[in-house]
Amino acid sequence: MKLNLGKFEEIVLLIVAAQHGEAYGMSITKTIEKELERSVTLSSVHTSLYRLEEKGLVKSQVGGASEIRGGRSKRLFMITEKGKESLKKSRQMGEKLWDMASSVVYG
Amino acid sequence: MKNTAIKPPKLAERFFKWYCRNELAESILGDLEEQFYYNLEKHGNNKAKLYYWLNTFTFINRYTLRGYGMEKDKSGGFGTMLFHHLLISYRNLSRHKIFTIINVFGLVIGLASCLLIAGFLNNELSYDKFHEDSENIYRINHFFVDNSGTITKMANTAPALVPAIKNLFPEIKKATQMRYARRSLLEYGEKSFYETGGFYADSSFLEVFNFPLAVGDKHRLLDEPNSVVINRQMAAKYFGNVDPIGKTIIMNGDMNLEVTGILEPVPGNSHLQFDFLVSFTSYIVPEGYLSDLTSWSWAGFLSYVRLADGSDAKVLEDKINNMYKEMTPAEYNPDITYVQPLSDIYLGSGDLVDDLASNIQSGNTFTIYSLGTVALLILLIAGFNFMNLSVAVSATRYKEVGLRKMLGAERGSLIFQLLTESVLLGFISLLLAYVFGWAAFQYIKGTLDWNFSPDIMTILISIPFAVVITLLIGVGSGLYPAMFLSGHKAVAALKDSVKHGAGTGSNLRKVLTAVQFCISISLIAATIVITKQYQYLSEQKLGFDKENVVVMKILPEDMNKYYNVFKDRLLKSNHIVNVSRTQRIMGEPWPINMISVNRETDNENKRILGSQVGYDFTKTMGINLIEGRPFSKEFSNDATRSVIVNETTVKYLGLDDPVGKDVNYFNFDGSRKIIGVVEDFNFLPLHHQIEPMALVMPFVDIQNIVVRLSPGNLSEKINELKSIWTDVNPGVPLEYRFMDDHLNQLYRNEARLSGLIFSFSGLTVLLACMGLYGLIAFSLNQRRREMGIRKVLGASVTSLLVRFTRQYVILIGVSSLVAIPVIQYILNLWLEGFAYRIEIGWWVYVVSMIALLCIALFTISHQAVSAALVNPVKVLKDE
Repeated sequence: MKLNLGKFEEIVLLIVAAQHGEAYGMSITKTIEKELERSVTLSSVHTSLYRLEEKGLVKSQVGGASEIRGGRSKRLFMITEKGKESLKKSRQMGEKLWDMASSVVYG
Repeated sequence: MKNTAIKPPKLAERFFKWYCRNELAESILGDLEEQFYYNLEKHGNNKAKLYYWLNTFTFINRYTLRGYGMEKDKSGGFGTMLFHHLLISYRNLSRHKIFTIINVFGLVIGLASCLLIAGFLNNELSYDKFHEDSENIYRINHFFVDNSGTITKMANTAPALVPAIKNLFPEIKKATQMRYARRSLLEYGEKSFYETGGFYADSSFLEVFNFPLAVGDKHRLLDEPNSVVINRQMAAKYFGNVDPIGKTIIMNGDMNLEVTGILEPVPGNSHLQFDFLVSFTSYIVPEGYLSDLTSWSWAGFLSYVRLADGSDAKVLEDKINNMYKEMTPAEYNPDITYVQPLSDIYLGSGDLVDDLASNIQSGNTFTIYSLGTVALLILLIAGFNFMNLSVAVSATRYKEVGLRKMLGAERGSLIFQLLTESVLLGFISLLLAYVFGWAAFQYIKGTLDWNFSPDIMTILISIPFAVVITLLIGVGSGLYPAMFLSGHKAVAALKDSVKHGAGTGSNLRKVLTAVQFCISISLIAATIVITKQYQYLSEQKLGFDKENVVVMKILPEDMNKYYNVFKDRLLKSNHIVNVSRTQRIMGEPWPINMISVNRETDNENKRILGSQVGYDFTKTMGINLIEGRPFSKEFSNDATRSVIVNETTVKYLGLDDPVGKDVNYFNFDGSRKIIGVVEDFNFLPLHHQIEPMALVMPFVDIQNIVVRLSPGNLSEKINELKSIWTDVNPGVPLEYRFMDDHLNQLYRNEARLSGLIFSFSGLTVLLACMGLYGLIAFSLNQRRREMGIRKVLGASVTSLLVRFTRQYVILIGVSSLVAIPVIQYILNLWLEGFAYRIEIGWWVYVVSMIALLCIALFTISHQAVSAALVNPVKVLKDE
């Protein structure tokens, strides 16, 4: 099973996990802009979410309409077990590499 | 916080909803709106709207698009369905390869033929349209009426007409007249050529028409005497790289012409064709002519007018006719004027005589109608094949259709699916037809003398029409099978209880096949008749001997100087039988004159055709003299006081004992004595009956020398002819042609038509046979078991063969009964255009029928024999 994550996908997936059950396109976009201080288009977040859903790393359900959305419901995303696995694996691999590189990076 | 007055752009929202799949649309739109208000607060109205717009575009991807990715799309967008239909179509078409190939091939041939014919017709109908405001341009024609009331329609008018009316009638904006320069010898430096494309014309010619000019001022070009305007090809031919403007060309040895302008080549679709124009003021009436430029009766000029917008040509016509009435003495019939619109000239001048035999092109409406009909028939046959085969093959698709219905397909969507298939085939064929048609065009344009070539624009313009026609064929031929198939009950189709095979739609198929047979028989018969008529024309006894006669065209001046010397030299050679000269040769239009018998009581002036000929003309041409004597040097009067007439004239004038009678020939000439009567000979093309004709000795300089060679090895004799000519008149090129070639040229329209009809009828028969082949292959396949059983029960191979073929023989018989009266009527209509024509014998139809029968039987024989020889065990065992 392919569980490799792209960098941007990993970020999106992490935010979905962080806002468990409350994550949707706009909230993720805002978070990225606020926390990571980089601008991102709504569509690239959505595309990323759909790709993650296709891979089975997140699942979605419809709910939570609000007035500011013109009364439209949100598509809320949640991380799946498979998603959690892939995050863990990605972190392990990162740490493995950090172990090797930290002596040089931090001097 | 939230500004309720400002909303996201509606159009962007609608656009997004249009492309985005339903289950995602709502949540994304929500996000978009949320971001919009967020941006509105942060960046203001304009930027928020801009971002919203940008977002709607950046969202276009494979997750959001409707119909993208079949497994995700449960609602079944239009795109998915179309894709599915195309897939099924492809599978079906590749399952029935033979039928697909027959269908596509048939349609390709049909469409390609139509494209070719359409190209030809388009060119024929485009004549003279390139002039600015071409609807304001008219030619003034002149109908001459003799005392007995016979009308001669001429494209020519008298030289006094245009100067008289030019400033008289307010509706005439510009008027111009032209005189054909016949053959002229042009020289520049070392170079000299005979040219036949010259007209005398004035500057207003280029104002009436818009012939493209490369260099020069069109309003003044031909104002000065001795000016000449030449076209680009001539400029290159005579001057090479030198700038021709201001240079002097010598015409006919004694006229110096200064080049004042250069013409672009005249478009091929112009009825007037010319290479150069000489200023009209330089035109000198040749010596010996009985008229001058003030004449109202000398119909030797072409007159064109450009009228003011919105003027009525009929009114002008009446005014001119009144002028003629006032001028004509009471005892004569006044001439009639016909003001002919430019758009009508090319196709509508079939009954007009051009007295000058100038470079005027004229088309033939019969060719246009017949080719148009043939194009339709070919399309019809191809469409019928398509329909026939689709219905036949559809029998194998009951299960598919039944299953679709079980799964909830509606009839509309089934029909749509089946139509997709036929339209798809149509478009594949159209694409191939363009390629095929283009290739065929390159091949036939030479053999058929099509002097046009479609440019990229005409091809582009044809595409929408072709697409519409293809759609019509696709839908038209696919509709019946689609209705037919989709109309059955699902359960019945699945249970296999629908009657299969030969029975399905077989009445329709029979009718369609019969129509194809009708068309095939008609075209085969037409081919036979047209070819026979053409043959008949070329074998017709003409009353003179056209073999071994050479016609040489020389300049009038040269005729004057060298004819007698040349003739003497030629007669010394034992290869040359006889030499004479004539104003017009056979097949050319002969000049119209008047004749009347010298009787005091009868002042009747009758129309007659005539030519001026030299001594020995009748002998050289092999014309039989039945009474009297030929022109002879022993009678010094012959040159001015004698005339020879033909038998028809004797009857026409009601003379009992013609030889020795006095007649008035030419208005100003006084009386002439009839010295001889010749047997009738066809001096006109065979479309016409033999008319009254008179021969007199030359009194103007004439252009044709006729030489009769002894039979055998012509090229050697031609060389001798050339070397004698060069001896007599060095430096002037000699041009000659054979009389029989010239006469064959007269029937090139008929030759062309017969060639076209021949090839297209071949194509229709081919198409019909291909359809037949497909049909038979299919229906025999359906009847294999039946045959197996018949064989088991003891039927012989022969009796089986008879069984299969019988219905087609009957069909051909029935088709013939329907087709023969129709084609008989049409062919008779065509034959009426000839004074000399064949009778259509019944054998023509018998031959056509037998030919079609043979071709049809040959087509089905392979299939039928292999079906009849089948081993019954094999076909019956999987029961």
